Amino acid sequence: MSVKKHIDELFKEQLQNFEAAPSPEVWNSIQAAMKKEKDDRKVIPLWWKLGGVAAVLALLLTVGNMILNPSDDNLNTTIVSEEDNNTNLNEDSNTPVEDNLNKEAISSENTTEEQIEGDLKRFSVEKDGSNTLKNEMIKPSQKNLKGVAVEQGIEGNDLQKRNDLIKKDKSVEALTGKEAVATTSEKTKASKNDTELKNTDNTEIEVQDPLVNKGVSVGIAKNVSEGVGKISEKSDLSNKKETGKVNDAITGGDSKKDEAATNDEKPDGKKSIFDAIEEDTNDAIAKEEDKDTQSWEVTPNFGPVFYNNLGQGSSIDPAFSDNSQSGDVNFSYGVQVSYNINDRLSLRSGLSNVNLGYTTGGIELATGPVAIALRSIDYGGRSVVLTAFDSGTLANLPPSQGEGDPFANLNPKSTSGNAELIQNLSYYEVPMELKYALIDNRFGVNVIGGLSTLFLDDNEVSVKDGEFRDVLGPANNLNSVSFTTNVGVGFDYKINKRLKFNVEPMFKYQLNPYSDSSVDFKPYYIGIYSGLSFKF
Amino acid sequence: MILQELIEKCKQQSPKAQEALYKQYSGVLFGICLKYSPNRAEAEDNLQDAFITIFKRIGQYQGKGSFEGWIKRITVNTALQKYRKKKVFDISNEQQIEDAEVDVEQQTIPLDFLLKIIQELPDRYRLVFNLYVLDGYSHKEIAEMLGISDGTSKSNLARSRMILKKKVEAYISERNKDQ
Repeated sequence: MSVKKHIDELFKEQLQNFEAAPSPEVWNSIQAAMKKEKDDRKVIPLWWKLGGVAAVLALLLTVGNMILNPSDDNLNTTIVSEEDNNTNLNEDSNTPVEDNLNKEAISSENTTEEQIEGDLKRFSVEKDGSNTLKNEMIKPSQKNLKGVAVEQGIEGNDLQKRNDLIKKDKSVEALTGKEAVATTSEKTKASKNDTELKNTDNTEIEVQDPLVNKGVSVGIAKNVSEGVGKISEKSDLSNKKETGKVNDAITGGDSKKDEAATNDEKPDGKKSIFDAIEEDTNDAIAKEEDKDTQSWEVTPNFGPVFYNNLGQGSSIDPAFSDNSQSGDVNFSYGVQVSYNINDRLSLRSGLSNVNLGYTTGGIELATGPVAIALRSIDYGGRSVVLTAFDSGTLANLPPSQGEGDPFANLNPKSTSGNAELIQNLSYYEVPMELKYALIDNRFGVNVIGGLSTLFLDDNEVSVKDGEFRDVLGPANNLNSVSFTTNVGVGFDYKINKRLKFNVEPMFKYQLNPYSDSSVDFKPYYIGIYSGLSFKF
Repeated sequence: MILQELIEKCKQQSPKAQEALYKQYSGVLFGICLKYSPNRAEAEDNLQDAFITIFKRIGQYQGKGSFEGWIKRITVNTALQKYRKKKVFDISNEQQIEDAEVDVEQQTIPLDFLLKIIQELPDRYRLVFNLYVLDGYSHKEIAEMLGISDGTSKSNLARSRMILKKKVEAYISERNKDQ
């Protein structure tokens, strides 16, 4: 009797929710891959987190030192510390792995031996190996039957254990029974004919064979080789471990069914898939797509910057070295663009404007001829200028030398010693930084390191005493292009997939701000930048 | 172990939990792989890749929506990534609209045979047929997933139906001849 059926229905009926048992070596490869991953992870974070930071620091300081005061000493020390790193790494990576291996091997030794003996005994009792072969093939109804059969006569707690044993029987039967292997195809054919197709013909067998054989031969070929290894090389610890695993993996298909029966997580197909798509675009959509779509990030940011000095001197005049000096708090603002090299590492650049200020106290002010004024100020050709002196200078001027003495023409403006000298700088900063994510959850923690190029935009030295305020002029000892080495920590909070809030305290050390190398003024600034990142 | 607990332990990369998860879901996911791959060996490769992705990214599963849906989607994606870029020799204008019904006897066609002829389809046809017929995606969604047009998806589906229909009919007539 024949019925008309839509081709789609024909396939849906049998294939829509169909399940199949993969061969055991799939799990072995997965396990191996995950183990490798885990070992890598054990070693790499140490490297990346500490070594990475150390390397960046070492690099920056080396570069910085080479630019500032080139000498061989520094070079040697960095090399030594690198070697230390290497040896540490080797020790780290070797010992734990070996330990693990040995422990695992030892712990699995006893059990496997027992299992093998048990398996062999049972093998001699049971004989019909071909059925198990067929079970490897994929018939939902048959699987259920088998599941039921297995459960019969098995009591609660032992269920899993016995399942394992029973499965092991089958595998050993299949392997050691060479006849079964040799005549596999006939037997499978035969059993197929019995259960399914009463009127089998040649063409059908041809059609089915490739599938049946494939399933069977893949499974068996592996089992045979590993099974033989197991029996003949009892003394080899690592081998035992492996075969133990193989056996466990063989049980995979069946215990799954038991668990699935108790588990009502089965979804209603379509909907849940779409939910998953929407909620987990990142995960489900292939890595490739992730990279394509969300590799770039733009971050407008701003933050306060504190400018200060690591050296002893003054940038304006050596006479002010022992004066009170303090950095001002200013602002920096700009835009960053970053490219995500991988999940954790990103490279970024951008452009920002950074304003820095530095105040020197304890000075006196006077107008006088340019010859005795501060040399580091560009007065623009004027001959009588306002200038600053260290506190006490004006009161203790040497006795006048007559007409030609420039000091005779000084006209004090402020002698209280309360006046301040303020240097304001404005740079355009172009950073080139690497950012590595230590923690990459909703709340993230990153380390950041890199270099910035600073282009001098504006600079001005001014004086202030109470209400009085005047500009002396721009400093003439500043480089128009200078560099900073940057290190910092970044904290971020992911508002959603595209939007992120960042706070990044950064330490930036200026390498060559002054053209006059005798100036013992080593400025740095600390910025606490915050901003919103948009991923696209 | 309840699923929730299992997922949590997998997030901590516990090998035991990973194995349990594999045991629980390898059957379902391997079924998908067999349908989306051209043969069993590649299906096993894809299953392996899918599980590695699942284990690596399980931390990103936030418990919203069904877990099985999530891992199925990863599995389908693994196959899509591998096969969607391969070009199909497109003969779209040839005998497109035909009757998609076949005369089937009461006795069913063996699953093995159906699976085999799906696997034999050209890559893109196989993906489209699976996505549309067996997994219920719309042509619009398929077009997006495979980077093709709606029209191409439709014509691929029609072509794959015709190929499958011919093979099923040939199979049935062979069987009848021998009866």
